[in-house]
Amino acid sequence: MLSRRDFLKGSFLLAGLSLTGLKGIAPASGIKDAEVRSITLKITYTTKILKAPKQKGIDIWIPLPQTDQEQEVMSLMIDSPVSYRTEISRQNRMVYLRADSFSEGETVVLRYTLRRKAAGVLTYAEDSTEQYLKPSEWERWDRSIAEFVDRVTGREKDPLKVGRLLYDAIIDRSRYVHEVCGRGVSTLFFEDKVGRCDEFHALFRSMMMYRKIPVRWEQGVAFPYPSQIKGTGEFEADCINAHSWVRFYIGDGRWFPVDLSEAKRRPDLRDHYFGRLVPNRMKVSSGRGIMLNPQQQGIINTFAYTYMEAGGLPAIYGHNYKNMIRYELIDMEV
Amino acid sequence: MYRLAGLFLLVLAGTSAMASESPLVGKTVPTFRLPDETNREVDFGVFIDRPTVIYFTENSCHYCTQIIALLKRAEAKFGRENLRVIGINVMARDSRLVKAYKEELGFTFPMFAGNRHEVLKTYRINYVPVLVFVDSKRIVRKVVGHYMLEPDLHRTIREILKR
Repeated sequence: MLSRRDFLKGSFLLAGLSLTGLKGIAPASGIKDAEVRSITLKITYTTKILKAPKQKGIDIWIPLPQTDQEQEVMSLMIDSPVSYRTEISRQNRMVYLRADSFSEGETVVLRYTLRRKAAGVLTYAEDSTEQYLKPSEWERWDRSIAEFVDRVTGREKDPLKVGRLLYDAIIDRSRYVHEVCGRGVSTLFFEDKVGRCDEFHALFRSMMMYRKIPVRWEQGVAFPYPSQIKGTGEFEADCINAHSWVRFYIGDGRWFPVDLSEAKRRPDLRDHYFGRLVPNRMKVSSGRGIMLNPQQQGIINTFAYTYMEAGGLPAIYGHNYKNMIRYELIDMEV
Repeated sequence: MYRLAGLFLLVLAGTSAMASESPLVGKTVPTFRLPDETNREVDFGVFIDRPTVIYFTENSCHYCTQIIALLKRAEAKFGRENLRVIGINVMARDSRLVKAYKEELGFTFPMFAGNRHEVLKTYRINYVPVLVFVDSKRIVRKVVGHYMLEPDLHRTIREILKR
């Protein structure tokens, strides 16, 4: 519930943003990230061929965000130099293109408007929870992890309490590092205690699954925080800017969100990220050990950005192709 | 531009995840038999006959791709007779990906398919890039788990060349 003071603050802020058209300004002052109810962005997602792969037969899969309880995706437009089709595989949507080769500089551009809400607990009544108890190849647990979970959670049975105990334990014992591409292997992160979002959430998922609590993996990209976002901006859609979070099952079809790595980075939001998500994010896929449609040859850990194969082998990001996300902030509800 | 600024800050802040912490530092470098680009299983230890940089990389990592260029230049600057570079692609399970990766990026130093649990566990590769610096006595002197600026890379190589 917003206080009258916060409501007025938000209203003045939004009026100011509307008047300035938001471009080139930093609506940073006065916004509390935990209180932002939604963000609406116009997004231009571009995959550019930098250097055509030497192997012939190029397949490109681009993740397509979907409208769900957490976000609305509107006004989708796709520009492609070759014919494309949209596909679905399991819960994920994607644009798929194939050509013998592409020329340097060719681009595939997706334009859409995203309204992302400050999501909390969601209900997926139709979903079977069993599938969320199966660890991916990166999330298996060993005896050390099992002993740690037993020690931390004791005989606690309530999923919310178990979740909070493990959330705090992982955050307290681990260090966050940003500018790397994580593999999200639970056992290695447990030993090494250094990682980024995929490592934090892989370990949390392993520990919860060990306690027979189902956990969903959600994959996306992160935008700047509401308190820091400018009217427009651009960043690479790659493994550095990919972001993951998870939801665990608390009964009656309800799934509880947590973001451990952001809680580590933002201690002021530690309690917030146990049950709420700041809306500076976009979900583009779910799950790990992704199978695309048509099926890819390589192994895909997560699907946060464009995946390309040349001759049935993964192309090289930053050499063969590159992805950019350009955004324009068009609304922020406080 | 922002990325470069970020990298600079990262290096300045000394956020090296592994620089001083790796349990490998001070120990004899562990080696394994892995497939090379011709699908022969080779113990990559046979190449560690001089100061060596072992570079863990994969295909979807932009920083990793940039580091390949730095390693090619370092190999030319310090001389192949003085410095060995070995690549390990942690995405690759067989020779095909290694061969295509080498051809695309145009380097000649040996590379191996490193998507094997025992290798990744021993070197604690939960993310890339990771660079392992080994001296002429086959002792691991430094492990760096992030992008390196070229002067830092050269300084670290000089340290292993001195030993």
